[in-house]
Amino acid sequence: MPPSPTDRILRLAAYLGEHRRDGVTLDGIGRDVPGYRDDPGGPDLDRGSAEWEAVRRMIRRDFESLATDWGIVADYDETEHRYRLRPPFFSPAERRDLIWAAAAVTVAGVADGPAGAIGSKVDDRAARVVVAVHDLVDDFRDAIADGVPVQFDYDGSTRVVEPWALGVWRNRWYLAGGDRSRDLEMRRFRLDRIRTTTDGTALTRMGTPGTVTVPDWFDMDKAFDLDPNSWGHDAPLEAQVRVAIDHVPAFVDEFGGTVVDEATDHARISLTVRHHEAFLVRVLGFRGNAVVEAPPELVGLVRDHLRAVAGNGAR
Amino acid sequence: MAALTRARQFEILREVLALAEEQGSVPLDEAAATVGITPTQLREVLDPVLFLAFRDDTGELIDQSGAFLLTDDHLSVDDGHWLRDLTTEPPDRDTTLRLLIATTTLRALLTRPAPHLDRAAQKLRAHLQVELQVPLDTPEFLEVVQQAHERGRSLRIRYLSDGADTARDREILPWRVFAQWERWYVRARDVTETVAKFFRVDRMLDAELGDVDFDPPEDHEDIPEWFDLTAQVRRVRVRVAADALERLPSPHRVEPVGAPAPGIVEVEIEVYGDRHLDHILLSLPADAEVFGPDGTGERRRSLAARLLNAYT
Repeated sequence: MPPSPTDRILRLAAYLGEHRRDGVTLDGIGRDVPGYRDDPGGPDLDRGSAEWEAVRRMIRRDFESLATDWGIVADYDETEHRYRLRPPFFSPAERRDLIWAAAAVTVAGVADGPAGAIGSKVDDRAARVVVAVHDLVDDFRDAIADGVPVQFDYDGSTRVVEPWALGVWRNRWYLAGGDRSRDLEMRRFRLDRIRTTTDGTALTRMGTPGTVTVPDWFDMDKAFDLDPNSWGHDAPLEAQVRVAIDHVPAFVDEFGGTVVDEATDHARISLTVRHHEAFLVRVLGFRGNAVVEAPPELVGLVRDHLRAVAGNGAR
Repeated sequence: MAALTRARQFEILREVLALAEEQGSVPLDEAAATVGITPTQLREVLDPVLFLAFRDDTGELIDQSGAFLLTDDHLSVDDGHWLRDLTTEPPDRDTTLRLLIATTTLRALLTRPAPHLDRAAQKLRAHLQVELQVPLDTPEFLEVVQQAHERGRSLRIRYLSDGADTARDREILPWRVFAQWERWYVRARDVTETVAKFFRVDRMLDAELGDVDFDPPEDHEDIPEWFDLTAQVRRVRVRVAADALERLPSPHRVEPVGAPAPGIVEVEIEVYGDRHLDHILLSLPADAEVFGPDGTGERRRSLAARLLNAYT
């Protein structure tokens, strides 16, 4: 009984894999892989004969199926009349590590790939990390990959942006890109602030793919470091803050800085402040557990604000 | 049931072989249920890959059947997935994005070299042509927390609860360790209590293995999609300069109520917990008007006055 088409195509895949280095000929496939010829052990078919042409067509269809259904592509060498498999996209070791990553990290919010895609069948009960992806990441990913500018409504105004990169900061997804209304100055846009219409669309592609170039000076790490102490433009001030000992890790996590002095109940932390108002707001979050001691400008900023609030808050 | 088309057979094969490779072994009936056919049908679909052979140039029989094994109604992958080994094309874009996020995240957690993972990530990045940054910090005591969880041992911690001024010592049974919303959490039961809670690993000021052994209960496994914080909801209504809202500390939600004057808005601000409410109240500009609930304005004034003592 001749093998089924499924059987035949899988044998062809295995045969190609076995002959990865030298490639395979049409005659070789007809002879060695069951299902193509009625008499596989017979002499090679005459090139151009009706039977040869039928075998050639069948093999071509099977190659198309291998490419479509299994992502296995062989190229035909016109001079040698041989089919050769392209190199595998991932090595077995790379695939093993990808499966490991997919099992450890659950990515929520990305559409499912095709059946049997790598990482699609891991046991996610063992996952250690969940990363939630904003709905618009898919659209921006495509725009970045295609190099096409996009238009969207952001905080009440319409922006046309050349998208460069996607990133996360403090659990929020951002797009970094060049704002066309500002001479391609780099801007960061929080994806959850982009207005989505009732039909779910938010982006309009503007122009031709391949028209966006990420500038050489673009720095991913800096682009998604949204800490005001990194990008603030106020005159830098060296601050000294007295922090209750139990709050030191949280304070350092929030501001960075260096512990310059430590006692049993408190530590003194030194840091450079580049955005005075943001510093004020953030330090107030520690209530009395973080008290600014220097410089006088920052002490005055906090004290004056508290004095004004204490005198004005009641109603 | 109608005969399966070739495309459908391949889809089933891809899915079932992925199950076998990614879970090591899969019961046949479970695999059949996953792809929506009967175990008998699945056996028929699997036949070509389980008993596949062909002849090489010399006429020798090459047997590829060893890669997939069907024993005791379990399908397993013994030596790699030869069909996936042959795959020359990159994954589709969604799978690539998913894998890139997973590898980028996992990479941030690893302290040892992972050259294969790095190379795979490089290929994914080049294929997707997207630069992506997904940070994930590893808090100081994560390792000992994971050790305690893996060994089924209690964990003695010094823990600063949200809103507390001072930390306290506790001993917990860490049932599950996971990262969600960029934070590491432990689902654990305090040895002195009966109800499990979530603890943030970055709020542990000290941690060491304890002496109490435990087996986690069976129903603790899922990572929560959200925490029920409805009891912690706090709201305040304020009238404030519109641009001042930008400078308020996150997280919070703003509900517009009105615009009483140009540049001035009246809004309701919602936060979770008293600490966040106090932070919002203190961070509002001094000339912001706080309307309620009753007593909120006085709460704000009193908070500021108390803090001011530290500066005078």
